[in-house]
Amino acid sequence: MTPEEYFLIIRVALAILSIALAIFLGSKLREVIVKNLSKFGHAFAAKFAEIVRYFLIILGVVIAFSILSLDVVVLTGISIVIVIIILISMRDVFSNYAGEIYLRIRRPFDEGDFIKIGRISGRVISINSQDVELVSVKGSRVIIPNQFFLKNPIINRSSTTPTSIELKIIFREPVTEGVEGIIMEVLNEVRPELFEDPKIILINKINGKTEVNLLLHLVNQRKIGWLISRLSREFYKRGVEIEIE
Amino acid sequence: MRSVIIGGGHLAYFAVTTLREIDPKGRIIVIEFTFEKVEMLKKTFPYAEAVLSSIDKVEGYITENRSLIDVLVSATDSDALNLRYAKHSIKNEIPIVVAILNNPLNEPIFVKENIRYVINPYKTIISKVKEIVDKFRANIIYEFSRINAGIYAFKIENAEILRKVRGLILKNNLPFFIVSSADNKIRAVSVGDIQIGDVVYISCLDKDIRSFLKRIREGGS
Repeated sequence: MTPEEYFLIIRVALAILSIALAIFLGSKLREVIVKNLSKFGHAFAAKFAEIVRYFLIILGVVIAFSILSLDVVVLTGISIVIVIIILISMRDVFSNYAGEIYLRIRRPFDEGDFIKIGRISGRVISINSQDVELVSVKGSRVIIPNQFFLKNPIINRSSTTPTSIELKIIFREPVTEGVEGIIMEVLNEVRPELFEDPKIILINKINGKTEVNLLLHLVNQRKIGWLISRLSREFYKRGVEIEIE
Repeated sequence: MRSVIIGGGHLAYFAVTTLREIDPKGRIIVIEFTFEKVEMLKKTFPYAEAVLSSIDKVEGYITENRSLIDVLVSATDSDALNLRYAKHSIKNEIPIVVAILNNPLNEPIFVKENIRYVINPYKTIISKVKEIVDKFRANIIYEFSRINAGIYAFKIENAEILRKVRGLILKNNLPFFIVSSADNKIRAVSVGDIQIGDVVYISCLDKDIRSFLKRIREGGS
């Protein structure tokens, strides 16, 4: 056996060893990560551990190639380009994973909490690896990518249940007097569905139009749609046409 | 506030009267399965709506009114039914779902099914008996439902417990008051005034108290 052949066998053995070591370390590390991060949810811990394992295996393969003395510069260049392409093409996915890490560790809200993020308000149904599912006040299901939570302030309103909602009632025709009386009469009709007595915050008369701001307290935020139509109906019964914002 | 109470027995009685006290202008609907009880409920709670329903139609009612129900209390005489209705209500995203237990041994089943608010009416028996007989080291007086905290009582039987309780209060800067052994009167003074024989009432987060309670009960250091 020539010295070149002898060195080649050693290099191949070392390369195999580095891959085997990477696989072994990856498996061990996966167990450790799953054990230690399971408090943040088993699915999340398992996923994170899997990412770390694959990273170690890829590292092992790169080292193996280096040991085999293939053109390291070329190999490294190719690896970097591949990694950059993967990172760019999957930046949203990674960003969502980062969002999930933030949500799991910082815990700004839990499932069942009522939150406001950006212009969206709703009750949290589930926190997933890529998104958070909400039910909005109007009852529609909203899927919010996790990265959104990294970039926007979150208001968790669960501690202030029932939620206070401000409604603006615009009278389509000029109302001369007794606005407050009509409103209170209508509000008394819906009062059994509210948590506390509603309040008139402001009555404003602009360009012949009357605008009234109301503060209502609701436990079930999905009731707002029903409430708006009920208010409109009650005003209509009294011969008053309104718009509600 | 629209509250729906399922069941018309004695558990429901307390639920209805309390909900009425919380929101006197709110709407209360009691769902019962027997005609006679519905008639009785109408007389007992003239301010509430008593609805006759069959056992299997309650879930349909919850689903139909899911966007209007604020509070649902499952208080039938059967824990199996209470669990069934509570689970269905949570699935339908009713904001506040409360289940009242008939058998306290069923509590873990409800907890396992993610029923957040489970009322065990028998829970106070232990703490009450301990308090009345006055023979306890550590006693859980009250545990809150919305937050993980409670009010705990410690009887200062010896110097060792005195040292531990003082340490707990000082370490966590906890609010407390003392009931004197001499005259059963409340004293709210400094930690240094706690004496052997006193009962000390502390309010704190349960994470701070769990291991401490265990140590006190086991008599460890």
